[in-house]
Amino acid sequence: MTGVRDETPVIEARGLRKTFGDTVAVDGIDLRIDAGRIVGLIGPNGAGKTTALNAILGLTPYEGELRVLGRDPWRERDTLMRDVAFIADIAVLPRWIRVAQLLDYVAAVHPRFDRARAEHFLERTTIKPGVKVKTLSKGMIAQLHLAIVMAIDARLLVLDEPTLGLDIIYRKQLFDTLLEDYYERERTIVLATHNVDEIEHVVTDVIFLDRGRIALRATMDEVESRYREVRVHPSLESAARELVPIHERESLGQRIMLFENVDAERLAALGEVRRPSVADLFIARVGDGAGGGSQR
Amino acid sequence: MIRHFIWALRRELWENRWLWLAPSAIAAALMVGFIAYAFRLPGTMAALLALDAVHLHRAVAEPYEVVTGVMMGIGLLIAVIYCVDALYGERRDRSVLLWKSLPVSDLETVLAKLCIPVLVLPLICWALTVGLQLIMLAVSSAILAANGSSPAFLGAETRILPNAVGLLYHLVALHGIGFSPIYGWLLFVSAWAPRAPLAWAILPPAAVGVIERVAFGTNRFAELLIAPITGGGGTAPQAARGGGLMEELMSPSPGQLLITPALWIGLVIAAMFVFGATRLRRAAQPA
Repeated sequence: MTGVRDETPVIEARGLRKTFGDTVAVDGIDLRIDAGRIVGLIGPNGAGKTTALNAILGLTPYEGELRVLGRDPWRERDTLMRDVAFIADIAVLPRWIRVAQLLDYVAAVHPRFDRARAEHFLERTTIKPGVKVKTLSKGMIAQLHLAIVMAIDARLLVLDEPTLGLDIIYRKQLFDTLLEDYYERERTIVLATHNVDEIEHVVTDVIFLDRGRIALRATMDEVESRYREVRVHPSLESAARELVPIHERESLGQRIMLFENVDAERLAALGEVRRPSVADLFIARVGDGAGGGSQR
Repeated sequence: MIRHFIWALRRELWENRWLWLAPSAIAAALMVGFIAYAFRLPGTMAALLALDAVHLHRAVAEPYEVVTGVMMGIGLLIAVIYCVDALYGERRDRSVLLWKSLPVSDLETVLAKLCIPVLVLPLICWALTVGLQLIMLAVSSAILAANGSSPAFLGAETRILPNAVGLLYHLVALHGIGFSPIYGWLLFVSAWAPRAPLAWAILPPAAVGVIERVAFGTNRFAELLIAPITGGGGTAPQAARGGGLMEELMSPSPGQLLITPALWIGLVIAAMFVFGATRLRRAAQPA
């Protein structure tokens, strides 16, 4: 990505909270997402990802302060949607509509929709303009929806569990398209998922949500520099624990410990050091409650 | 924005093709029935022409009036079914999330949906009714002419084109605008009901009517529902007059209608329901 970026955050939340009766879905989170980032919003089922996104997209009222592209999403949803495109967690394209009708409609109501670009995306697929959505497979529906949102010159793109129910080919195509588009345009992408592995090499930032709270917020560069995983030599386990690992697990008879902000040379003396995967970090922070729920 | 509104209307017609297919099918069925009837016309010509003017008019015009009545009833039934599902259906199939991802306001969407029973359906029913009646006239005239009888009296008795003006007024002003509080209520329920919107739409008003009937022996609530088209008298228009179809269709007249308090109260109630439906759609989650 090139060019001078606007300093105004794309998303800024202070004390964002949403309850359903006695259930707290989002528990007063503070959040800032700057322009040009690809943010992975990661959490287990029920962590509050979709609720937080619904608030960001103006689909649900909330408590606290929230600005998206400088607007109040709840009060200004329709105006905001000129600059925001999103795909909800489950296919939402109506089954009765024809592909051409969908393109006609979006072209008519969306000032930033480039129909030629959508058709260009669709030319790479087997989707024909005259067919109805109900005749398409789940993967083809995802391709169609993606072609539409990619053809919208939106400043913010939000995808909620975009690969749910898709096979490996469609998942790969989706992320390839997403990255290709990201490098072509100045836009910010928020990807919510509980499938940590598949977005690890796509995102620039990760936010872990657990029980409505942010358990970790970091750039991928920070993850790389701050965290180390060590396959600890059995005789050095006690010494390793003195460095206060944030998580421990056992693999093939050896203890694997995860450290935060510990000098790499000291860790190298304990065993084999490597960068933890986002999934490892997620399990450490959220998975078994070790550190889960604490704000960083 | 007008452009959004027009495209929202267009989307409704794409989604609900039955809005014009169902009345078209009914019109086709009526056409078939009339053709069977028309083939018997030559045999009854002598008896028809022996009737006095009033009975002749009644005998000739009756099939046309039946067509008008059936198409009106179908139009109302379709309007009710459409409204009940209009905002519930998009929650049920989750497409509300797609529509809300586009820069079209909830108010534009709800107004477009209200426009279907208030304007679009009356126009569809009007066009089909007048078209069907013209075909009926042409068919019966052709049959009579083929059998050596003059069909000239048919046009004079049926008065299709003059009556078409009255029918347009009746459908749009009374069935459309006059019933807008009922359509507003149905849209409100459609936006709110967690499930079974038809039951939620019908049972509470029906319960009010039954309780009133049992407790007080009156029908004021039911009369209130049709007040905009009866001027508040609680009587169906055709029962109130002994005149021709045109007089029935044009009653109450535009002037009378505009000074009918029930019309304006109804419009205020309709606006309140539309406002409520818009607010509910704003926070709508898939059903």
